[in-house]
Amino acid sequence: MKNLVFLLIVFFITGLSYLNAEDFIRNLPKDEMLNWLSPERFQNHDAVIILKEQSVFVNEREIFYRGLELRGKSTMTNKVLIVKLFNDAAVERYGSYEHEYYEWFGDEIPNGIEVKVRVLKPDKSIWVMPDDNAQIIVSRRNKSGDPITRKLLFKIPNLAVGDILQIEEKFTEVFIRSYSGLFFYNDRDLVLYSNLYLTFPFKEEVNFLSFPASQIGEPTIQQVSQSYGSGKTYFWSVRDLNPIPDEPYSRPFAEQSLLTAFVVKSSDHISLGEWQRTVKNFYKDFLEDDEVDPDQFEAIGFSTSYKDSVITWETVDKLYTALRKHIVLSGFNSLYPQSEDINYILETKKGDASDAAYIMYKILQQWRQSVNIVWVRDRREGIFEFSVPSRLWFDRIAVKVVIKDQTRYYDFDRSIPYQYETPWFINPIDVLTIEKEGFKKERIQKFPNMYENRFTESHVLTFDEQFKLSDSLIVNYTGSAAQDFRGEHYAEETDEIVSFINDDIGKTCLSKCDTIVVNDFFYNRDINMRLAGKSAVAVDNIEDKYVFSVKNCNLARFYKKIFAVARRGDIVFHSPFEIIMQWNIKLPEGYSVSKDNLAKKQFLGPANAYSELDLKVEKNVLNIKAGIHFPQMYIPCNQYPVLIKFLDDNIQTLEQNIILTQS
Amino acid sequence: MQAVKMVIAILILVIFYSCNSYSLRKDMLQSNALNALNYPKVHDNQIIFFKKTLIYTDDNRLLIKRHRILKLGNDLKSAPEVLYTYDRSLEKLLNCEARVLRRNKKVAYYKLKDFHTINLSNARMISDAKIRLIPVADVLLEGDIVEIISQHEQTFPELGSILSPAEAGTHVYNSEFVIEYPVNDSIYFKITDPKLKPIYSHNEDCKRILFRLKTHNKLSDENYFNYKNKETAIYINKQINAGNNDKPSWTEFGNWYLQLINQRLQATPEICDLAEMLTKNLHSDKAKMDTIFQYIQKNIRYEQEYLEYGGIIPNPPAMILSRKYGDCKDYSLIMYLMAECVGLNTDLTLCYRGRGIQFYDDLPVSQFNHMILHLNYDGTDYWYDGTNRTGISGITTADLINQKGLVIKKDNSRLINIAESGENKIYISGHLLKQSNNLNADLRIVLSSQYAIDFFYVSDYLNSADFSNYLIDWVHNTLGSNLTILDLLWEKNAGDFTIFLKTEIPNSIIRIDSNSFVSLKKIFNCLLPDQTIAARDEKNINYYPDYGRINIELQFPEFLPAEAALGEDIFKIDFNINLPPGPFDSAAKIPFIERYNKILEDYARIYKLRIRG
Repeated sequence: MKNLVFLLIVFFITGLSYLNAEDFIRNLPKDEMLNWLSPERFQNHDAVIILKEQSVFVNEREIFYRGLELRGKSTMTNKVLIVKLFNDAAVERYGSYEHEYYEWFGDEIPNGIEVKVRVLKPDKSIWVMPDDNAQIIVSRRNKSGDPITRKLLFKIPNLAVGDILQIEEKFTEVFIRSYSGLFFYNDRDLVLYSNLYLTFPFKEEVNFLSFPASQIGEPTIQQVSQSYGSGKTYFWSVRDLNPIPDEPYSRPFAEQSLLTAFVVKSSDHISLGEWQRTVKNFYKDFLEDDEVDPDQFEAIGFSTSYKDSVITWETVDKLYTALRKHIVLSGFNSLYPQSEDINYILETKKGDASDAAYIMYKILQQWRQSVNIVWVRDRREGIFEFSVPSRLWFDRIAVKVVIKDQTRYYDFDRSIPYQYETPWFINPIDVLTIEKEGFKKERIQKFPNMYENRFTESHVLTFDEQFKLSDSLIVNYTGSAAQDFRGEHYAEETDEIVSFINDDIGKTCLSKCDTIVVNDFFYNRDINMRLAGKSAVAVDNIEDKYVFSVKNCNLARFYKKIFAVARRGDIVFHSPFEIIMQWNIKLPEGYSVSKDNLAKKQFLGPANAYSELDLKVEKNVLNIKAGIHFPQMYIPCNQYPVLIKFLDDNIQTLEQNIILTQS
Repeated sequence: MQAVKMVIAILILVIFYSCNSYSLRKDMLQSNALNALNYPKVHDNQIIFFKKTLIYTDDNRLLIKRHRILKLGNDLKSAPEVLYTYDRSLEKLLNCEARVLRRNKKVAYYKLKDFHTINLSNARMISDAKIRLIPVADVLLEGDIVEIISQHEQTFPELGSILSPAEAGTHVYNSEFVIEYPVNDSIYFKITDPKLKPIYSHNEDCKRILFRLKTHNKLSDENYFNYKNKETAIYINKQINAGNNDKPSWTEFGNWYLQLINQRLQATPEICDLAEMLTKNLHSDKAKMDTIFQYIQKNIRYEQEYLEYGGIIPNPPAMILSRKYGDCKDYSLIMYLMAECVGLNTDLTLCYRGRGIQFYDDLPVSQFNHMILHLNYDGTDYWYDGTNRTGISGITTADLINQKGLVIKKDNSRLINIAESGENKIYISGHLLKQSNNLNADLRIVLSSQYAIDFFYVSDYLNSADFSNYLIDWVHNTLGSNLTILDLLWEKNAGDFTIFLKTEIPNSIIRIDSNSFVSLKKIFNCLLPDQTIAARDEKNINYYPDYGRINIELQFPEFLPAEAALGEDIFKIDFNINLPPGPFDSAAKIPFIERYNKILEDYARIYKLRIRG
C-alpha cells in the first residue's frame, strides 16, 4: 500500500511537471544579446525582431465528409516571433494580435489554431499569457449560421517598452488549396535571425527556389526521423535583414524582401510543379465553361451577330466600356473567375476583375475573335519569378486581344476608366498568356512617357476693386495621376468626393470655395475638376504697390507626400510624370509687373529631372507657367536629398513675391 | 366538425405566425405613401424617408425603431452592397426586416434570419459589436428603393437619447421623429432648431410627440469659429428615478451612473498597497494625486477592449491592474480607487473629447465619449487624464479646454467647465538674417503647459526619425507651410517642450527700390487664418484653434526700421496673440471679435526696413 501511494505521488509530481512545462518551441535569447539590443544603438527603430521563424509541415490527409472520402494535403504552420520593443509605437503594434482564416468546411471540418505568448521583463522575470486570454471568434457567418471565417484575436497584457515578446502560433489547415508557397524573410522591422523550415512527406518531389539565391544559400536537409520514408525537413536561415518600411513611392515589400518559394513537383504520381501543368489545369477547370446567353448580349448593348463580322479595335473598346458600365467591381480579386456562373454575374451585375475579364473573353470567343486570358501580377505587388511555377503570384486575370498584328491587354482594375487605357501598374510587367495546350510568357510594355501622366492646374486670378483676388481653377489629371485618384475614390459617393476635393485640393488655393464641378472620371480617362472662389493668395499693399505670391495645389501635395527626414529605400514613381502649372492674372488697370519678376528660371534634379519657370506679360495679363518634369521613374535613395533640394528650389521660385507698380 | 376545428386552428396559427413574422413589415410604406414622398429628383443616392421612434414602455424599457428608405442614384459603385444594421450590448438588435423594390416592380423581402453576421472585433478594438447584413444578390440600380426597419432596445435608457436626421445621412428628406411613452410618465426634450415644432397626441395607453422635418442637409465644417454639430437635433430624457416625474437632472444622472458601476468601485488590497507604497512620504493631496497619476499613465497602456457594456462601464479594477492596459474609463477608475485608498477625495468625470462641439446641458443626455478624474484642491480644479500617457499632472490636453465635464458625486453630480491652464503659451524667439529675398532663422520655440502634453507623449511614442517628421509636420501646419527646415533639435523640461529650429523662410523679404519690407504673416503664414470674423446672427460663436496664446520675439540684427533715428536699436518684432478659446455668448462675442480682428491686423502689418550700416 505504501509503495502504491509512493508510486502515485511520483506519477502525480511527474505528470504535474509535464503539465507545467513551458512548451514553447524556442528559448528566449541570452542576456548578452538582449543587453546589446538597446534603443541608443538602434536609434531610428521601434523594435528589433530577434527571431522570425516559419515552419510548415505538409502531410497527407484523408477525411470522410458527407459520405465522401476526401484526400489531400494538410499543413501545420508554426510561426515564432521574438522581438525587443524600444518604444510605445512598438508596444502598440505588437501588443495586439489578429489572424483571420477561412473555414472552407464550416464547423464540420474546422481548421485549428493555438497561440502561446510570453514576455521577458527587464528585471528578468517571465510572464506567460494565460491560454484563455486569446479568443477565437467567428468573424463572418452565413445565414445558416455556419462560420465562413474565424479570427484569433488578443491583446497582450503586461507589455511595456524594454520587454522581449515571444509569440508562437500554430495553425493547422485541414486541406490546403495550393501546392506551392512563398515565404518572406524580411519584415517591417530589422530582423536578426530569419528561419524557414519546410517538411514534406517521403513521396513528395519538391522544388525550392530562393531569391537572391546567393544571399539565402542552399537548405540544410534532415530526415524527419530515423524511420525509413519519414520525409525530409529543409532549413534555411538568414541573418541581419534590414527593415522594409512603408514609404511612399517605393518598391513593393515582396520585391524588396528575400524570399524562398517551394513548388510540389509530383504527388501520388500526379505531375505538378510546372507551368505547363498548372496552366493546362487552369484552362480545363476555368476557361472551358459557360457561354454568354444571347439575351445577356442585349443587356450590355451588343449583338451576337458580331461573330460574322470583322472585329475592330473600336468594337473591342466598346465592349470593354459596356462591361465596365454594366458590372460593379468588387474591391477584392481572385485569380479564379466564376466561370460556371457567367450569366449570373451579368444578371446580378456584380463581380470581381477576373469575372469581368472572363466575360469579355467569352464574348470575344463567341465572336470568333483571337483572344486569350493572361495571368496578372501587377507592379503594386512586385515582379513574379518565372522559375517558381505557382499561381500564388497572380491575383487576377486580364484579356489579351490580337487584331491583325496588333496586341492589346485589357485589365479590369477599379483604377482604370471605362474608356480603357493601359494603367501604370501593368506597364511594364510580365504576364502568362494561357492557351489550351500551354502558355507563353509575354511582356506588356508601352514605354510610358511623362506627357501622358500629368498633374495640371490652371488658374485665372482676377482682382476686384479692393485688390482682393478670386481664383477660377481647373485641375486636370491624366494617366497614372488619374488612375491613382480614381482607384482611391471608386466606391465613394459624389458628396464624399466633392468634400475630399474641397479639403485636399481646394483649401490649398482657395480660402472659400464657392463651386466645385467634377467630370465623370470613372468613364473618362482624364480627371477634370473646376473650382472657383475666393483665392487664398493674400495681396499686400506696400506704399503704392501691391505684392502677392501665387499658390499651387499639385506641387505642394506632391512635396508633402514625399518629404521625410530620412529615406530608407529607393524612389520608384508609378510612371514618368510632370506637374504643369499656369496662372493667368489680369492686371488691374494702370498697373504693371516689376521687371525683376519677369524672368525665366530652370533647375536640374536627380535622374534627369528638370523644370522651367517663365513669367511674362501679354496684353496686360501676367502669365506664369511652370513645369516640373520627371522623365525617369527611378531615383536611388542616395539622391533623395538632391530631389528635395530640387523641389525646394522650384517652390521657392514659384512663390516669389510679385510686385505690381502703377505705370 | 373536427375538420372545421382543425381548419380554424390552422388559420389561427397562420394568422398568429403572420402577425409575429411580419411585425415590422406592416410598418413598411404602402405604395401610395411612398409615391407621395417629396424629394428632389436628382441622380445621387438619397435617404427619402427616415423615421426614428423611441418607445418607452411601462416597465421602463426603451425600444428604438429606425425606418430608413434609400433611393438609389446612378452611382452604382457607391450604392450599398448590403442592407445592414448594428447589434451591440448597449443597443441590442431585437428584429430587422427589409425589402428591395426594383424599378421593374419586383419586390424582395428579407427577415432577420436571412441576415449574415460580421463581428467587428479586430486587433485595434475588441468589442461585442456586430453588423447584421444581407448581401443583396443583384446590384442595386438607379431608381431602386431599399427599405429597412430595425428594432433595438437601448440597454440603459437613463443615458437619454438624441434624435437627428444626421444619423441617416448627408441629405435626408421626410424625417419623422416620434416619442411614445406611458400616459402617466413625463418626457423632457430640447430642440436645437426652433423651426422644429412638436405635435402632441395621445390615446388611453400612451402619449405621443411627433416632429417632422422635410429636408436636412448635413452642414460642412467651415472653420474653427463655428460649432461642428450644427445639425437639427432633439435631446430627450425622462425621469431617471421611477415614480418621479420631475424634470431629470444631472444629479440624478450621476447617481444612476454611480449605481451602475458600483461593483467596480471596490479597491482590492493590491490596489491599496500600491497606492500606499507610491505615496508614503508625501503629504499634500496634490502631491499624492500627481504621483498616482504619473505611475498609472506610465504603467498602463491604452487599448480598446469593450466586452459587454464596455462602452460605458469600466473593466474590473483587478483586471486593469493585472493586464496593465485599458481605456480612459479604466485609467480613471484605477486612479480613483488608488486615491481613495490614501484618503483623497476625487471624482470620476465624464466629458467629450473633440473640439468645436456644442454641449447641450439643459437635460441630462449623454454626450460623452471620454472619462477623466477630478480633484479639487485648495479651491482649484485639477484634472487627471491617464490617456495622456506622459504629461503634466493636473491638466488636460488642450482639446478639452472649455469643455463641460460631468463630475460624478453622490447627490452632487454637476457640470463643471474644464478651464484652460493659465500657463498655456507658445513662445517663439530668435534671430533672422537675410539671404537674398529669404530670411534664415534660428528659432527657439517653447510650448508650455497644455500645449506641451502631446509632444511629451509623441516623443516617447515614436522613434527619433519618425518624431522628427512629426515635428516638421507640426512646424509646417502651425508656423509656416513654406519653411525649409535646415536643422531640428528638441528637449523636454518639466512642463515645457522646446524645439530648436534652424530654417530658411523663402520670399519673406519684399524688396521695393532700396527698401525691404517684412511682415509676421510672410514669415509665419500659418499662425492665424486669413479671415476676419463679423458678428453673426448666431447667439453664440466658438473659437477653438489649436493654439490661442502665442508670444513672438524676433530680432533682425541686420535691419533697422526705415525711419529709425541714429543710434536706434535693431529691428524687432514683438507680437502677442492672447486669445481665449470659446465658446462666447452674445455678451462676450463682440469684444472677442474686436480683439481678434485687431490681432489679425497686427499679424498682417508690414514693416519697412533698411539695412544697418
